[in-house]
Amino acid sequence: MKKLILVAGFLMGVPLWANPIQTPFVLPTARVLPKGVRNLSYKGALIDASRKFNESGQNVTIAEPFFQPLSFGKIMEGEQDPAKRGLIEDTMNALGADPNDSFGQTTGQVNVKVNAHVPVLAWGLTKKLTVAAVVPIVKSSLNVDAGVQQQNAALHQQMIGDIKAKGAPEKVVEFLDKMNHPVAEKMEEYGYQPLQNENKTELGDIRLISKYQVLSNEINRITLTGALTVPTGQDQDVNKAVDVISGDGQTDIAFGADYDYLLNENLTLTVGSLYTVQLPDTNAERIPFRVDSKLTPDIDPNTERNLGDIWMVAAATTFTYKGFVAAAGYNFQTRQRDEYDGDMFAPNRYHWLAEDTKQKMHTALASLGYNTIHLFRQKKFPIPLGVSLTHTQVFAGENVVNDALTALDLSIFF
Amino acid sequence: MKKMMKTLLTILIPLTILSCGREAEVIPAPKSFNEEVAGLQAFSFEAGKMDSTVRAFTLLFYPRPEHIKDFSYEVDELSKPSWDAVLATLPYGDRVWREYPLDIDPDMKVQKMVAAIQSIGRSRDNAWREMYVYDTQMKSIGARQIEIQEEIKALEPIINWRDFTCFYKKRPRGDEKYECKVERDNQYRRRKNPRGCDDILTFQFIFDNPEDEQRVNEVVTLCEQVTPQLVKLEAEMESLRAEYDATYAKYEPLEFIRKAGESIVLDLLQTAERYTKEEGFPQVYVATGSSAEKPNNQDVLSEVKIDFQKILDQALLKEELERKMADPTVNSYEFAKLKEQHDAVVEYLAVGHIEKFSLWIEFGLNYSGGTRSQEYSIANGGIQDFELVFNDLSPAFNFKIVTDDFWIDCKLDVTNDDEAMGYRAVGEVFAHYPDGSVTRGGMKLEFNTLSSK
Repeated sequence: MKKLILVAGFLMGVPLWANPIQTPFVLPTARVLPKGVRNLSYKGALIDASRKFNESGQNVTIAEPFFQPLSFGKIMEGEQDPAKRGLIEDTMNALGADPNDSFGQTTGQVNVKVNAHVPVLAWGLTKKLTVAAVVPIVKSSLNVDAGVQQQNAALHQQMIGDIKAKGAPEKVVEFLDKMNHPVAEKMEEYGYQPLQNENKTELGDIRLISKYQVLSNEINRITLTGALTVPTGQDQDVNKAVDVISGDGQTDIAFGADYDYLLNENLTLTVGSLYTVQLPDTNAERIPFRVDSKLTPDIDPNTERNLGDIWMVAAATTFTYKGFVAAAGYNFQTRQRDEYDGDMFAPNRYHWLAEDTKQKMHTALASLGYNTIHLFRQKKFPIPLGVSLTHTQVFAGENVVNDALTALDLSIFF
Repeated sequence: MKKMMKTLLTILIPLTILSCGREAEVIPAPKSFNEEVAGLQAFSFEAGKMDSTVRAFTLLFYPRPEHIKDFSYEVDELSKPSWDAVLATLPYGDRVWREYPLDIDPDMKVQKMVAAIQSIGRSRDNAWREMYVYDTQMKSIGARQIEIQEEIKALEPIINWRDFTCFYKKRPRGDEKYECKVERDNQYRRRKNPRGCDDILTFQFIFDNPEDEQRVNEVVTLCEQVTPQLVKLEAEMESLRAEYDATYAKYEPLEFIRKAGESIVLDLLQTAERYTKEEGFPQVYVATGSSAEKPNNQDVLSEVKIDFQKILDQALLKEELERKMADPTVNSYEFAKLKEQHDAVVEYLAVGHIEKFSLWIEFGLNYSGGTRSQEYSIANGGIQDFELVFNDLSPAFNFKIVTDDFWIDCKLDVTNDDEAMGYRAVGEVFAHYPDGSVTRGGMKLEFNTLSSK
């Protein structure tokens, strides 16, 4: 079974992607705050995670790694000790079976609901420079369960008969336990915590952002962006096979640019790009002993890791009229494959850890909003406020969750 | 403005409420258990009938991949017939590896070696089961032969055959009978001593007096009466001899399989152990235990003497006594008597329930035929932490064998559900070395069932 790590580090404003790549809910813009103006906003994102695009780009359930045949071949592959594999191979041979003969299959259910509450404080330090601090709070609810569907009664009976013939009745009990609770038994054997539903609220990775406007005239606006992500979120628990994390435990730096082309006073076209460098660090990791499974009993507390850098490009068009804002856009993100290394185990085993870490995501976004800025300017409203609702649809990708996302944005300027 | 504020709040409040307190629905994963898989039944266990002598003894350990990285094994001309014979008994014999080339991944070498050792073990067990059938048949034949001998003995008249010696003149031709006289004379000088009715019926006596005639005729008449039955019994005896020989002809190759299986596993593991030792690792893979099937030359056999029935009875008695002692109506005198009885039971279950547990084992390379066997017993501390545990399906022996160089953790299930195998204590063992390394292995102690003797 591949390990499931669901990241819930939903961030704000200018695109602030963490690892792995996130479903975006902000469209690009080259705007900055006027000098001395501050903006306090709350962004609330609602996301369900139940399906994903896999390595081949197919739309599958995120519980896909749970669905494995209980075949002799898979059972052998799941045994790290070659002596135990030898015992299973002998039994398989004695029953006249082959590696594809299966007792049934394991099943699973994973569904996640995440509310990301993201307060953001931005400040126009100068006419051209705006800085912001983003403090995400991630509230997550995880439902996880594992099951089994037994399908080959004859093989079960043969197996029980064979173990009994060997004179080891307690092994029959062990076999039936493993067949009835294959995932739980394997996880216990490997030292993982039992699978359990979990509700939690955690601080995410805090991000510090600066935007510097290098050009601004009636037609064009260009802004450069720099960002630093501080690892204040909770990285994966090495003893959990399924975990919702609020951070990745390492520091990121990002830089990019946005360009606005103002077609008229109501319509703006924007393109933007951001490159995020994920800095290398050391971390406790479970080191796989098979290329196709990350479930393993072996932990290297000092695994050297270099998470793949992320590149994003986005395009949007925004229509504004008397405080109403309607926008639509496209966003593409790609993340390079991670790299892992260490001394405790064979080098190739560290490389297996990086399997399925390369990611791609294509999304379409649509946003509707309203602000009181024009009313405030006309002194018809006491405070400049804004509200918007954004919906994001993931329509293609690799190794990314593909559930739709809805986000609410409330802002106040002062 | 108020209207505007109202509109904003109308939008914001539901959205804010919506975004709070969402929880993932609890959806169970699909599960289906196969109803057709029959429930487990406890293994039959006829307590108290286990022969104390170990009939067959197996103890071996599997190499670890890190200890046999550059190990290779080839079957030589000497052991090839054994490999061929043993693997030919298995329908999947062609899938069992007998050669382990240098360039194979060590993990794969271990996996295939273990599979091979297990398969050879199966072949040996199957051979034993068949041997048991043939042995039972041969015992049955032997018992019938003894019966026939007894019947013949009972049928044959108790006669001093020397009193019916035939003195004849010349040897008869073809089916002719000997022409005999009871007394020797000048013409009838040659002697033929009858050994039974068969012989006397081939004599034709010429009598010199009526007394002799009467005496001889009585015996001849008697012989004529019993001879058909004797002939029939002799024929049956002959048939049984042929049947016995035919059965033994089937038994003998199986005996060879048992021995060949043991020898090829020993050869494989000894070769691996020799390589491991050369690489500087202390691991032991082979051990030979003295048993009825393969006794050492010190005239001692491994032995486990244990009265399961008594232990079960005592365990039940202990529970019953504890129940009675917990009864608040029991007076102090009765309580004292119950406690005395209870303490005796507890002491028995703690230390007295295993009468003897003694294994004679020779570890490691260069098997000496048993001259270097050592006794590992509860009595001498070679076996420690012994526990007899009654699990749901069978009793189990849990113990440690402690040697000077390592100790072995043994957990063996005890069963007697297989008539041919008798009583078996089978399980996994783990050898622990001072450097912290652990090797997995297997152990099997086999005992005859006394009632089947």
